[in-house]
Amino acid sequence: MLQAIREKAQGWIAWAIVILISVPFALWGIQEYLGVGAEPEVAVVEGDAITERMLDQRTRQVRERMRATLGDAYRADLFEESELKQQTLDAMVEEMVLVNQAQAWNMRTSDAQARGFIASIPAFQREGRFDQQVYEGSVRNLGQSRSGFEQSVRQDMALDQLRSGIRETTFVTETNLRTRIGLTDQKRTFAYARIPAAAYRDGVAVTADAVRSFFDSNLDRYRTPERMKLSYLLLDATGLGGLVEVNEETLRQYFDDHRAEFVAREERAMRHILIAVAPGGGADEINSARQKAEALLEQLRADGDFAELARDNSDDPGSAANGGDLGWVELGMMVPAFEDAAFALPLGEISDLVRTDFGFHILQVTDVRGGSDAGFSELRDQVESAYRKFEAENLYFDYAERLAESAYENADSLMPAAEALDLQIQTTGWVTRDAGLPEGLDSPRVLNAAFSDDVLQAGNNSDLIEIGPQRAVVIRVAEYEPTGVLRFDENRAAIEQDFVSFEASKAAEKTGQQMLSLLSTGDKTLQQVASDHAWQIESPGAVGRAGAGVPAEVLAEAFAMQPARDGGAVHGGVASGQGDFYLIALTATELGSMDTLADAERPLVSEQAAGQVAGAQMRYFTQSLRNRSDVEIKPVGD
Amino acid sequence: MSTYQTEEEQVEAIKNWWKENGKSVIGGIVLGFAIIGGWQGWQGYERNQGEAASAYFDAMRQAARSGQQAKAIEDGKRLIGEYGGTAYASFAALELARLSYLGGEKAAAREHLQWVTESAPDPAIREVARLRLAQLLLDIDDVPALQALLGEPALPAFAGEFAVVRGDLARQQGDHEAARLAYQEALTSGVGDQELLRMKLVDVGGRPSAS
Repeated sequence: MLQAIREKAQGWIAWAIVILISVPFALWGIQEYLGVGAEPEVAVVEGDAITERMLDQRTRQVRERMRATLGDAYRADLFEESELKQQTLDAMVEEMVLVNQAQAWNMRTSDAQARGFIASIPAFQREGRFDQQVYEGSVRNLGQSRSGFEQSVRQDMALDQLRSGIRETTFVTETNLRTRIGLTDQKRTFAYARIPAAAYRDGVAVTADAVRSFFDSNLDRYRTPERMKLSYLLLDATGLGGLVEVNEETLRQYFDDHRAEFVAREERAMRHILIAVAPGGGADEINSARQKAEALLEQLRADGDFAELARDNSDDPGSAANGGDLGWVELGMMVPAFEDAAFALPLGEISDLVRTDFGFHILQVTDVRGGSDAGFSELRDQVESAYRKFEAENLYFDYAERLAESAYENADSLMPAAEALDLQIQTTGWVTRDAGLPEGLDSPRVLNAAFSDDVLQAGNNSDLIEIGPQRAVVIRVAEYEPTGVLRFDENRAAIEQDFVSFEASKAAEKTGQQMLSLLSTGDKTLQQVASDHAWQIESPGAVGRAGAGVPAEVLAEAFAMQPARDGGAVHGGVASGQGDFYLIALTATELGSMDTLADAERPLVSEQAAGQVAGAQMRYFTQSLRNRSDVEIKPVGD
Repeated sequence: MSTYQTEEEQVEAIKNWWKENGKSVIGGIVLGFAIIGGWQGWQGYERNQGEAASAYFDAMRQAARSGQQAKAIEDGKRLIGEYGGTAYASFAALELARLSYLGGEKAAAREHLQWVTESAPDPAIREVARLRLAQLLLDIDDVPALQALLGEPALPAFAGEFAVVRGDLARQQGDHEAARLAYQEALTSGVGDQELLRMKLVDVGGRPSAS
């Protein structure tokens, strides 16, 4: 037998088998080399990839959370997408580094811990208790397998332990807290006098040369922004309505298919008398009910009063008291047998007996509204505009595709696309990075495209830019003007004004410096100097770093000045943004302390300090782990 | 390779081969199973260790969060005693240091931090403990020990914060010149709380905006 196998094994069959077996081995793992089916990656941490999809998903979540926190204050352009993505990616990388580390440190979550945590999530509970079915359903809805979900729960729990192992164990020493409060809650007592630049304006000698050289040395102040005019093709579904071909037959068809949109549903007001038959009632019971009902019917037909008979005889507790009145009823509200009868019944007529599960009914329709058989001819205009709108939306997608294609294929002109789609080329006025886009085109996406390399530098048509629901545009640069400088001659008056202001504040500062050297000799106090020159002086008293009411520059300078060791006054000066110069006399510095804080503030301050210190230490810690991990950030394409 | 004429011959040859090599084959198989078994046993042991330490840590965290100081301390000490080599033990010791300090036992806090700087399984955790120890030494004014600690090299991410401690020490000793230098250095290395650092720098006569 072995012999036979060996003989066979030398033939072609053996070779075929060997080849068949070796193929899968040869190809095993080949996709790793070819990158087949791999999603684009944005970062790799220790061999684990963060894909673009994961990043996008997380960025969306971050955005949603911000939207939820900010509420009405939220605006989409509040956070630059690329910046937000960068931050999100950073956070994801750090999280991954921590997760890896937790694993390396053998940080684990037992089944019992994981189970306890999952059971504590309200979304998996029914009536306040964990419910296996609810849990499994919820996880399925998340698009995850149970083991996958549990795996990620374990990961999150280990991550949480790691974070709290560093964060929650932080404490702030008394010394640290004292220094912190001493400095942040420091108060400084100072006075400041304003040397107004305006007082020096008249003294400025305005000569043509001086103004010109001021202009030449301050060209940056007189730059004009780069700007451009855009030509564009705007595609708008509402504009396409006119292109839709309309004929009677299609309109009629559309009307029939969408009748409900044009014609209000019929409603009927009705009343009834019910002679009830208990569910499962025997033949006798049914018969006696029927006889009673028939007797009533006869009475009604012989001009009995419906309302009165209903009040006295109807077994329907809801309507009997109202004379059997059911109010307005629409198809679909009642049991079928009742409904069929009610909607077939002519207005005002008394019905025959109607049998339902409840028993026997006698009913009468008292009024009818809606459901007008308003025909096609009366509603034709309405139908037509609805039809056009509907078809325009379909047309839009077709047009959008053709527009994108045509604009791309003929990238150096909009004409071919305009002709192919019968669209008008429009042109904007001057557009800068900040303003100028006409209404309806005013979208950051348009602006980004306009100033992109492809459109601005290479002079191509842009891609199709979606700027709203069923609104898209293709743009190209019609005219471009780089950043330039205002013409001196045309703006002479304004430049002269600037020159005067500039020189005046220089003069104010010069005076200020002279006064500072005078003050430093100690011959005069700030009060004396100020009153000599009739400068306004303010003494806000002991001021904290928040220093309400004090000009920001003065406050910053007062807190940056070196207090005198001997307790005397120190003087300093600072120019304000308005061009005035301020003289400052600092007379006292008082460190903050727990005692100067209000009772309610104390725990808050130490808590805040602990939080800050914990955050900082967590950052150093995470950074250290990241520094030694193999992290590769890939350039994000757009 | 020679070929065999009959099936008897083949059977004979196989028997001979088994006689020669049978023991080593069985030995190899046994060794293989032993290795697999040992590996799995080790994995199981690792898992048990990790899970047990994790459970202790959670219990301690829970107790500390709900203000049961005594229970937290007890859990922490047991965790350190039984699973001293794990990261959980380091975190527990950091927490014990915090609880001790807040309870006014600064010497105990120092011991716990000291232990982490020596026994934590990872340099990053040791560095966190070292930074906290440095701040504690500044707090209890043990200058020689603090100077020795500050003399050791720090991980780059922590360098700024250690420079701040160096500055704080110099400031405490009245050496504003040295404090200024240290704070400037910290500003360059980068720290979490820039604003406070700037205030400190101003306080010792520096001008952060000028640099």
